[in-house]
Amino acid sequence: MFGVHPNRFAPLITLSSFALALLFTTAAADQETAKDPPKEAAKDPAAAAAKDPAAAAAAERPEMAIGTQAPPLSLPGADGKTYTWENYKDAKAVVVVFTCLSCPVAKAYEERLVALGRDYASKGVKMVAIMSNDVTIKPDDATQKLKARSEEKKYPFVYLVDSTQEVAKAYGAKVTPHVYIFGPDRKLVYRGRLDDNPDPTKVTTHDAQSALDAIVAGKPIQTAETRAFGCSIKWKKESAS
Amino acid sequence: MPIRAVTRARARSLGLRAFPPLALLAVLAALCLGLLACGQSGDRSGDSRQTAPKPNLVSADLPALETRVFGPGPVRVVNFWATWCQPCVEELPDLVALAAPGADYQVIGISLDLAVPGGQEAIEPRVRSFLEQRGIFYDNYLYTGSLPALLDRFDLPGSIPYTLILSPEGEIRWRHEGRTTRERIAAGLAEVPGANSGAL
Repeated sequence: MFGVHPNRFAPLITLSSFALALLFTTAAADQETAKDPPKEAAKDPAAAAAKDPAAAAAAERPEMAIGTQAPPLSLPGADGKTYTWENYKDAKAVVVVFTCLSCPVAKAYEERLVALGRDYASKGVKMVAIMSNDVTIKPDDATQKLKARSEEKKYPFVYLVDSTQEVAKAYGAKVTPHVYIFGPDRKLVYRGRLDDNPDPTKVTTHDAQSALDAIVAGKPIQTAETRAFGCSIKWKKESAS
Repeated sequence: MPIRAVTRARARSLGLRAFPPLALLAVLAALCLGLLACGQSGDRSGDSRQTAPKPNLVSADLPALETRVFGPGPVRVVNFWATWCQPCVEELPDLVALAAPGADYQVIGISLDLAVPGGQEAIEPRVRSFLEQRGIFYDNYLYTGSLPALLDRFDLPGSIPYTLILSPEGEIRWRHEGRTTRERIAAGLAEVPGANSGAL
């Protein structure tokens, strides 16, 4: 077996053996790193390198100030129709909520939003949901899915699709869910959270509802600003302003 | 029969070609390296539960956080995160890289996983195994208190991830909203006196 004669395949075999050794070690290394960050991170290493300017810009954008006149609105609904403020012209108050299907906090609030929209419809309050996430980051928020969910749960509000994210930027919206309530003259009277706990069994203050009660009764709102909490709105990576 | 022919015939009958010693050594080396490498990764997955450190996850309400995280101590990088927050999860490797042993600063995670309904009994073990899978062994606290109180206390915007750097006196000296990187935190640490570390 240990022939002294030079085998013409010897260099090839030697090289292949070292190649195999390299393969083993790198394969093992790949196994380790595959356990680390989830696949989404591996998909977009450039974003990490670019230090996410879109998120940085979002952080600096202030929320719309109380008293601000609602900016013009024209967005497509998940139902295919276009919606403007005309659709809400007779409402005593309009609850605009930036929300989505993919965020666990937004999911925890879904039922409460539906209940609020339903309960206050007879009091002249209208509700509208706006989905501003980049659907390439969150495919669960695709328009077809919004439409399906709206129909399944019989939402008392339309889901508008803010694909350019301009509306979210104009409102300074940061998270889902993020609530903005406009009074009869379409000036902002409340902004922030729906209530103080994503867990519906632990709510102590129903902030948005209290604001609506005040508007309906023609009384001043006691707490006009609260801190919204939820998943950050998924900004498109390219936009830096 | 000449020796050459005998050897070749034997080799053929064994189904082997004649291997020069060097090539054989290379094959053996390859096998050894391969086994070693596979053995290493194997250790990290299942077998080494006795030797690998357990993730340090402790539940804490606001007063507990005040005492354990926001009092006097070493310079601290405090990161608010949750397993369901995608950008939070994406930046964790940067924090792990920063939490090098021998650094003059500490890296601390505060998980807001309980912010979502599900109950501590169900959620805590999930967070623990999440940390273990990713090799996150710096101190982590599972926040059990009121969210609004936490947001008010530390002036948090309500979206995570959010990262703070605390001075030795426990004062907030640096903040970052949204996903950050090791380099950016390192730059922040350079601004806080008492955070000298070669690990940057």
